[in-house]
Amino acid sequence: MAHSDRAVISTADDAVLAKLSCVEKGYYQDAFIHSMAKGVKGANRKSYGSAGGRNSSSSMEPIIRKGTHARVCAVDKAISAFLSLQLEEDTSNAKGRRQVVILGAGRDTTYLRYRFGYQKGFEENQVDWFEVDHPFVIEQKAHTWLCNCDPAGYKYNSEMNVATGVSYRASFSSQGASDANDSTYHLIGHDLRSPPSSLFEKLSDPFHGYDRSIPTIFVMECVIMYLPDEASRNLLRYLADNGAEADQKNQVDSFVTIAMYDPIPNNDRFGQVMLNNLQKRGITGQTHEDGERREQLSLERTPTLSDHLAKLNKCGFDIAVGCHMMDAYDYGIVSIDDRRRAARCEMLDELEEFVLLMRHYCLCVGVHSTGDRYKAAAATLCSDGKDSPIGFQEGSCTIVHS
Amino acid sequence: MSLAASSPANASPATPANNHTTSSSGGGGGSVTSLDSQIERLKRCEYLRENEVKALCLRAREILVDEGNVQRVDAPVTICGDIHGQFYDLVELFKVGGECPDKNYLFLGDFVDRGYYSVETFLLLLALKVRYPDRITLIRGNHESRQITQVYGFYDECLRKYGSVNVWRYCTEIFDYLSLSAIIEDKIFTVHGGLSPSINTLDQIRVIDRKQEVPHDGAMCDLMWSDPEEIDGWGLSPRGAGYLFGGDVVAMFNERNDLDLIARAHQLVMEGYRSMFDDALVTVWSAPNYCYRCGNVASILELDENLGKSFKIFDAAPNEARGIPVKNPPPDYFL
Repeated sequence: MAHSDRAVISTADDAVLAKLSCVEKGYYQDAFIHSMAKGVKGANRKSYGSAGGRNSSSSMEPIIRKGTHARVCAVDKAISAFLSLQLEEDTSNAKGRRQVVILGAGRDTTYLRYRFGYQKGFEENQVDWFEVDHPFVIEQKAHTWLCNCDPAGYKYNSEMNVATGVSYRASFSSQGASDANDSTYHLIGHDLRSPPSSLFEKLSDPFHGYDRSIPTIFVMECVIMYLPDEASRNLLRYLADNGAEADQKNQVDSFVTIAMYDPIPNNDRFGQVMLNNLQKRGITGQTHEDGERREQLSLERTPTLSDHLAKLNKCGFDIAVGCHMMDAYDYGIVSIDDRRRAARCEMLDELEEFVLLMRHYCLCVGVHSTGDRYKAAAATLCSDGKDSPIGFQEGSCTIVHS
Repeated sequence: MSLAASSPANASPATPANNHTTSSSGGGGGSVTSLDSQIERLKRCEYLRENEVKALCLRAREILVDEGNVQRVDAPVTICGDIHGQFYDLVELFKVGGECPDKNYLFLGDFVDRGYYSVETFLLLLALKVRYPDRITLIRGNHESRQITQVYGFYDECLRKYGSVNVWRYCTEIFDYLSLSAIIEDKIFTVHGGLSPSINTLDQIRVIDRKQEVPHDGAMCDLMWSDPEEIDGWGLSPRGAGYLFGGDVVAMFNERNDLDLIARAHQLVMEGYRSMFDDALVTVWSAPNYCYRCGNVASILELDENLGKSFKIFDAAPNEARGIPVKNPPPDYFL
């Protein structure tokens, strides 16, 4: 595996350590993050060891905890807003099925949190979850990380599908009382830089059963930033199109939502330092470690919030809405209860730095629908003001229509 | 030519330190020569041995214990804001502003935490203080605290570099002796954070019993935690300690105490400094590219003998200045 691949894959460890640190401090609850972080260098270190660096959960900066908490709240809000949307269902979708596809899932625990009732939002609907990541990551998640997460009274099982490469159907079956949960859970090994058509082939394999007529949300938390710009546009176009082009004989109405959390360098000094620091980690920069020229990443080519929204539009999302994370924090996406809770956890001395950091990240949500039945819901999901289910506030967010 | 050397208000640099060495208790080497060699080592970013730190702190305590809560400082002097363990940027600061004792310095606290070299940074400043007590003034910031240093890095750094918390203990004991504020030629009041609703006059600061851990509230806490803000009167601080204070509060404080200016630090300013309230208050920030992440420039405020102000802006030390690359963890982002 190339050095830069490892560098990108290792960012999943940063994310899980930051989330673990948040949970340990009491910012939010996640019964699974501890097990999910098991084996990550720095997890559970109570104080500096001889090789101690800053990358351990206990020595995370408060500013990173507070921002990570905001990130978790914002992404959760986007997912739960999507899941609770009132839709005029297709007659074939009597159960009100929904699909959640987490791209670049890494050690993400969102599925587990929903599955075991820590997050609300889909009691009436059957939700099918798909996690996509590099095959190297998916293999470990299916065989090791999820085994560690086994909640009491449930038995973890995973079944591999040889036809689609490294991909698994996983389940947690109840050992005692009957379990009404009929959601399904799929782990798909796919390098997001490779052609997205192959991703849709894997998803749509009967073993996984992805159905493009079912309303779907794609979630990418700090994922698109690492893709070469052209690959990121290709992927977005495919997600908006939702496999329709490859399946032209089956004309179905489709409703696709995308939720992205990403850094925005903003063409300023903070952003430049961010790019330089990520270059030191082998992520950005003009060349690979072997001197070969590197394509510019989405992070470098999409430096602002409006660039992100324009890109979503251009790639086929009819409406896109977004705001930087400081506005998300101050104006309603992160709830007042969550903010109060964070304030109780610890004091934050580095206020100016927090504002600076948060203005360099954004939450963007885009929708693309075909057929009339989903038009109103799509507009609602991307609205601002008091009707916005995600919490975008008028004057503190940007909405663009294609 | 050095302004300081020509100023009749200041004694020659060597004298006070000589006075002190005669009464020093030794242990880590008490002579001026050994202190000079320690300063040389610290300037190369080498940290002192534990017993040297202990001896240095003992000598510093003898000096600091005699300083007032509102320490008197003569002009000319250069005011510096937060440093936060960014050792190589402190070296850069001295390059830009002139070496101590050629120039007089007043540091407004927050020497430690966040950066990679809190130990070296604080010990260098403390060694300079012991060597040239009348040339350099150190006042306390909110990070000079046992509680805060356990969250923001200094504690971990001491443990990592010395294998025990003894050095952290010696340093945090010294923190309790640092002055709370300074006044330059009776006209410019300097403090780390800002004002307090329980303080109207400088005399009220003078009577605080400062030899303690930074409290969670009250006057001493406010001096280190408060921030100016475009409001009327007082407001709650989003930091969870101290207050926000408006221009009217500053105007009244300056008038009552016959002051021209409040100079303070505590808040990151991307441009290095910021004047507020018709130049009644200025924020000085001296940690360039703060946390190796923020991309800001830093500044120092030079006051001449007539209290004429000039700011010097400087950028983070170039990588070459740091010598052999050290394996420091890169700054964190949300990834």
